[in-house]
Amino acid sequence: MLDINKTETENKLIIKLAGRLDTNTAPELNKTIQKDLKDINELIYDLSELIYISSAGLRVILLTQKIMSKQGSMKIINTQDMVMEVFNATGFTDIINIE
Amino acid sequence: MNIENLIDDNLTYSGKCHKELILKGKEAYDNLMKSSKNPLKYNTELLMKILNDNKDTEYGKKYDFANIKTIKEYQEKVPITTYDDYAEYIYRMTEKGEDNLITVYDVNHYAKSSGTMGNPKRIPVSILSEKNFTKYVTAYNLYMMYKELGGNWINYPVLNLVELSFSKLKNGADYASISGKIIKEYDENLTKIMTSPIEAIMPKLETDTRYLHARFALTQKISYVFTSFVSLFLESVRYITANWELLVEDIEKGTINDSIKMSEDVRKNLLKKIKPMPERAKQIRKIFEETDDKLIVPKLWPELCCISGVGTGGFANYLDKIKEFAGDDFNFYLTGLTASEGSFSVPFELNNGEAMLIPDSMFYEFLPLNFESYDEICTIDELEVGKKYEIVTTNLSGFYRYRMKDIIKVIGKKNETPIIEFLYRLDQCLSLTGEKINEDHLRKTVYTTEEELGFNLIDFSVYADSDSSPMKYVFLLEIESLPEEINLDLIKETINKNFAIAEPLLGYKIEKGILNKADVKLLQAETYLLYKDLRVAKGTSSAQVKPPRMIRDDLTKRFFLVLLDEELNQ
Repeated sequence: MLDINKTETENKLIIKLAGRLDTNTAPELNKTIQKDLKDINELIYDLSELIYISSAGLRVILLTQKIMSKQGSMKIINTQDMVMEVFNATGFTDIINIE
Repeated sequence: MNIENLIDDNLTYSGKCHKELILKGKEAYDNLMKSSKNPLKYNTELLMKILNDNKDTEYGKKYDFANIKTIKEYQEKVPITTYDDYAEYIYRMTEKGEDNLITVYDVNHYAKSSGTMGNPKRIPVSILSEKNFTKYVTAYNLYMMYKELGGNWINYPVLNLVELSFSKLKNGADYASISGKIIKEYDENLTKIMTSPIEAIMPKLETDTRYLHARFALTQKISYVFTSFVSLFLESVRYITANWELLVEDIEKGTINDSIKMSEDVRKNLLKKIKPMPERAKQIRKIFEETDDKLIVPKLWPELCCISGVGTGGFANYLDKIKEFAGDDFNFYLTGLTASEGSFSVPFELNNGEAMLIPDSMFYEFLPLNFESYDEICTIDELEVGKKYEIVTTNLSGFYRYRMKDIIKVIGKKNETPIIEFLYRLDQCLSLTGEKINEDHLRKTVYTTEEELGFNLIDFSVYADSDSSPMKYVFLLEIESLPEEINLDLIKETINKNFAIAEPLLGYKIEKGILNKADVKLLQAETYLLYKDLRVAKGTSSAQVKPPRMIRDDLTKRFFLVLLDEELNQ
């Protein structure tokens, strides 16, 4: 189960994820970023309520980073410890701005 | 139809190039069949030519090439070597511009090859050797396709998935992979014979080449696919299947979706080359909407006749997976053993991974596996079917009695010439208590288990766990869909049974309690795709990313261990 809450102000979009970003829910987030990132030049992923992320979820985050690197910036905030451990172990912290 | 009789006026540019190569390939095939009847004669003649040509080089003088008249004298006078024996010479060649050191032949290319300690090697590739690559890698391949499949394909371009990355050395020579060198021969005409644009063939780091190869291939007829490893084509097809709506929309409108990563100047250049193709978009959409199974390749590209690439050993597993998309009667040209040092073997028919040594490509010697003395070294006529050997080469680029560290098995003979199968690299083994676990052991274990249990394996890796007591090997598997009746315990049991069959010493050690039973952990879906995406994001060419079958560093181990499937591993 994944809740995707979006807050858009001008060209800035905050996507707050709650629940699990896994094989079942990653396609939903993928659809969101494919259609909602147009004209966005600042993207923030708020992961304060994301409790689990899998390989499929990480691939969507990576894809978002690919898109945003072309049109603006992206950062991840409020990451929970368990998810942060995954970011650290997979090397995401080397290529994505995670606060 | 006889290839000579094809009239040039009826051929496209691709057709003319293919015809020229097929003719060269026929000559190579005829020579090979002739030399294969007496391989030692041709191999000895080649050695004597190499020694005579190079007798006045620094290396030739040092080892008195001028007075060597027999193989025995050669073995007595010239030492067996490794890369370190040439490092100083190669430094002088590439940094100081000196020549006539190890070879008299012109060298304008050095192949990038990963060193065992992480320092990239510079393997010299002489122009003479380059010609051999063209002959036995490209031309021979096309002739085999023409010989067995006819010529309906020859007028169409190639889907090339090998990407080129060139740099220059101080002496002006090219420094790149050998596959890149083969392709670069076409130079400015590359895009006339390939479906992909130059932006995908010689890409900038940030360019999403998966999209570009797919996008441009979908709008054209394709003769065949040329790739380093057949798995890359599988990945392309999977990419198309997952992203067909985006691709179709772009083809229809003549656009490149904003989510596709590339620099602005690359995008601008590419947009100049494309135009809306609504009819083709309609055809592709219909194919995907109406196809219930995965069989899309023959519908997208009816003219596509073959895939050429490495599809044996660690890549054999991908052939059946490709057939799910391409059909059971799809053809493969499974390239033999080719390395920067030369072309060692070629297949003698399509769809057969067996490959025969090429007697006029280099001079061969072979060290039996687990040899105790160099005296055991043998020549091409002395190999025994069923035995394993390490190849020692004297090549056309200045290496003499050079240990390749590639282990092969002799599996038969074509005429009098050995047919070999590449098994593994000698310096790539896992060992916990002195046993040497190589990739061949691991592949046999995992693929037999996959076959016995009937699951669909995406990929696997193994690491040696020296922290546990007793120590153990750990298999990490990504499985596409696990049948209900298969559980982790059954997989572990089957893996252990097959591991002990693949390497009986292991079974003995486990029984004696020296080693623990192998463990198995299941990875989350898309883990190997993520591994590849991350490597590409960090700058590795997508064509070069291979799954790490043997994990030997903590960072990679950590990556996989954090991506275990918590539910399946319970």
